[in-house]
Amino acid sequence: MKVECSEDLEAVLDRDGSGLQIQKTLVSEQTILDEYLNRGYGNSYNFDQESRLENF
Amino acid sequence: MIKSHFDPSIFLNPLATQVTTSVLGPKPRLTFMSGNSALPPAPGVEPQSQPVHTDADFDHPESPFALVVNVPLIDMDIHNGSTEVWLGTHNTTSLAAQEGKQGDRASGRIAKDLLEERRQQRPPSQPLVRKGSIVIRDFRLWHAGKPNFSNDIR
Repeated sequence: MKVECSEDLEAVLDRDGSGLQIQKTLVSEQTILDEYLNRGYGNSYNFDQESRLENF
Repeated sequence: MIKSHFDPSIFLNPLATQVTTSVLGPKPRLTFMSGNSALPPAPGVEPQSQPVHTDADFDHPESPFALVVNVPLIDMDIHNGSTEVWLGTHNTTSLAAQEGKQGDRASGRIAKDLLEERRQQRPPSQPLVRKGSIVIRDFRLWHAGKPNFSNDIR
């Protein structure tokens, strides 16, 4: 899964030196403002591995 | 996430990252951001709790693999709906304890008989958490949203 971030946050997110990796997609702020109310509720997201190893 | 809602002391908190790094290993990944708002009850509506559940509503590892970092923006207590936590349950839980399938509105519900069994060993609690605290919990922990009896959005 990736967090959708506005492009003007790229510098501050990439400058963080803590080792935290932020999985992100950069889009315009206007895109986020236009679409954020269309998101699902918490449990509608799939938090499992994207490419799951079966029988492991 | 947009710039006006972004504060590095919350989203890039170095103390939180030190803990998550210690538990999960170097270079933990932030993959999700959201907010949990408990609204005051609507007039004439009986306040309700969430069913006790785990957010790991899939077949998951028995070792720590994901953590949730919560930062309350106001003090949380029993009156305004501090989240109920069942401490220690992340150590022993599995998919077999759950009802409801991934993606359902109330997925990850913990079976009633297991809740009663656990309650005898260690009952749940609604901790007092001060504004600006950092709460770090294992993704598998049993928990439940509780009613907000105050007039403030918690």
